Amino acid sequence: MFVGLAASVALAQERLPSPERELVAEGHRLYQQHCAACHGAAGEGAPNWQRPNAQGELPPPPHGPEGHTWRHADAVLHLMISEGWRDPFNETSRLTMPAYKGVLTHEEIEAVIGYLKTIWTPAQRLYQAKESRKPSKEPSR
Amino acid sequence: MATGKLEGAEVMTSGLTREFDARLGALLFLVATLLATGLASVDAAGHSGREIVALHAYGDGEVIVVDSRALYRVGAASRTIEPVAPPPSVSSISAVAANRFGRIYLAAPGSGVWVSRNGGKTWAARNDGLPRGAVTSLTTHAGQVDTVYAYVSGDGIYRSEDGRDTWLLMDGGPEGMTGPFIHSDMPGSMQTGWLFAATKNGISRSMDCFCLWRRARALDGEVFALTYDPRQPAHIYAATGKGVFRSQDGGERWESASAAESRIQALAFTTTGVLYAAAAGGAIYVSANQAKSWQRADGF
Repeated sequence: MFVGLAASVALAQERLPSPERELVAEGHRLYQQHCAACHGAAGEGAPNWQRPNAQGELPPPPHGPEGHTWRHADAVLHLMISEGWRDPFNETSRLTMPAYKGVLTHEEIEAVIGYLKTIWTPAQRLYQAKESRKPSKEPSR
Repeated sequence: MATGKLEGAEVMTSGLTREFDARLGALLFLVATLLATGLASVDAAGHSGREIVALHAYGDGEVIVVDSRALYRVGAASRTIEPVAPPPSVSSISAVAANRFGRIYLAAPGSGVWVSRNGGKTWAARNDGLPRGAVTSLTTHAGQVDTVYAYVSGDGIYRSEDGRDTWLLMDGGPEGMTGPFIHSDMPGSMQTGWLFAATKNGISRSMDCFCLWRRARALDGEVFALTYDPRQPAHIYAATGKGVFRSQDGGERWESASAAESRIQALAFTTTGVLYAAAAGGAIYVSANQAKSWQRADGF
């Protein structure tokens, strides 16, 4: 599965113009460094991510087609990475998705998001692009 | 017969206004008059026999009452009841939704979904992308004027937004979804709000990004109706076979509310804080105190 995904990502990257290819490569590198430990080297997420764990927290979800990352606009994804996130029904109060503001620059966060888009299906990329073009609707925090 | 019912209603309300506040008395007068204007005659228990398909909060403090063939717009403050004419081609109604911005949506077997932006004076079809299967329930977005969701049994939940006529299948809905669902602008969503759906075993909720359906806790049994308090969006009300239940934290904990009747099949909570419940057989109840007590609109 991982070989197939890697090949798919490589193919998606090959189709990009050179500057974007570099952005995606940088995003992939940053993802492996900062995100893979929780979300999986290929974005597969934690096992049983759909159910609360023993601490009553939702585990890290996948970022690929089987997850829901593709359902969110760019601005929402950027905010989640920058500010962190916790499911409001988690039994703990900590940010299960840590905040990367101060760890990653704005451009580095954009690079990570750019990489994540390469592991979605074309239909999911299209949907996400439309969501991103809507007038900004920040999460109802 | 109509005169007799109206007289009965007047007698009923003159007694009630001594005991309840003026607003609740007006509501009871209105629903009793509603009976006189259009519903079937009552049985010995006071039931109309007409099944109420849906109740929906509408505009500012109003409610849409729907049976299988007709709609009524009930306005407490203005003491008016207006029959709302469905589209001419519609002979039966399977689902209705309305919002505080004045939109009324109606689903009819064979003709899909219709929208009215003027209180039912005119209707426009809105079906591009909807499958031929029957739309069994509709709900409107709590904050977006022209966003509406439709549930097609066996298919899933569709969304149409921003005034466009197209529908997009968002997902299959939660496991065991029975039909009724609502959108709430409860805080804490990654997107713009939450969806709560009635299932064969409790309620499931998802952020309106359709990221993950999860069962809201500790509410067992099939849910027949649900609503939320628009003034306090985390306050959810659900009707099961065991009565009406209330949650103040988005479905994490539930407490039993007083039971209006054993089988409630529609709920609606207006922007002015009045909770409506429709029972099997057509009885309508109103509560002005978050389901702590109910008053029956006699004759339903």
